[in-house]
Amino acid sequence: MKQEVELTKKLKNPKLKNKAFKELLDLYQERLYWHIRKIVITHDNANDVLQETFIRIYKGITNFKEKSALHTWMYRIAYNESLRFIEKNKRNSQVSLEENNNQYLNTLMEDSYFNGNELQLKLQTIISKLSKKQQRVFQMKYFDDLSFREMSEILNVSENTLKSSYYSIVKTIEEKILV
Amino acid sequence: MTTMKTTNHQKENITKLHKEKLGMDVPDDFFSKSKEDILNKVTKLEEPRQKVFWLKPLIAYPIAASIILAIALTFWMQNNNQTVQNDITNIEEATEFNSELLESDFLVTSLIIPEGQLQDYLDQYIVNTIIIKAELSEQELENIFINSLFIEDSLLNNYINESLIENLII
Repeated sequence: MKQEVELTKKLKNPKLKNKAFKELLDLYQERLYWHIRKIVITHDNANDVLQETFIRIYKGITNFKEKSALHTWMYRIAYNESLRFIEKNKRNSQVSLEENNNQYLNTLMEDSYFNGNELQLKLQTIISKLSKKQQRVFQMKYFDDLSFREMSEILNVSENTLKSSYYSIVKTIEEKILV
Repeated sequence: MTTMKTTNHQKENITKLHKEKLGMDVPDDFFSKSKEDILNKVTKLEEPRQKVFWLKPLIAYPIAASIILAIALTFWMQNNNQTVQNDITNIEEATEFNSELLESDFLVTSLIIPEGQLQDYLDQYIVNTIIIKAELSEQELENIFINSLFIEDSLLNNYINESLIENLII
């Protein structure tokens, strides 16, 4: 946390901004990539959104009011950028909501950087059948290792709702994966 | 240092976790290449936008001021020219009116005067007419030179030439 405060100061200083930005990339590029990848599914899309996210971070850092932690703010930008990307693609492809679940798996299978075995594909299938909100909650907690407070800030949902939602999702997944 | 170790550890874990649990992979050396791409894009953002030479404030503002000044001068000179023209027209009208008045007086008086005195009256009339015209011309010349003091240098020559020619004709 202290490191983030220092980094924010450097990022806001025009003379130190570029050096600090490299540091920021070292620290968060990979974490943000995986956060984005789970939302936009394919590697190529994740790469595009990741670049856009960091450009937005670079442009917006001077307006960052430090009401939340730096990484929470960055996750929120990454999350919003991913949703914007999906919306843009949805408008182009005009896919109906019913087709979305199948589309998740189809897109995943088409991605050349998906090498899932039977068990991994089973988990992905179970995740694809969750609602979009449930998917985000599970992925952010289980894979991104974010706290409920951080998730609450990113998703604008209360911590208690997220906690109860997460435990019920985990229970559902466990039941389905054992079948 | 401890934080960096933790971060590297987290990085390894996070990629491993995604590979193992979700079967998602990334190309070799992807993160270092992506970092380079992002830094290149960011550097381009930082580069100052090249401005068109004549749109730079240092040049654009004086040019704009000159254009405004030129337009204002044109309007001012046009209006001033019209005033001079009006003055000239007024003098011409007055001269014509005076000569008409004198001519009609002369004709009426010539009918009343006895024939013997007519020659003397005619001489006197001619002298009077010449004196009046000379006085008017002198007055006009004075006006021209007074006006010329207020007129732009560029118009001065034309104005004097025109007015002098007019007076010489009169």
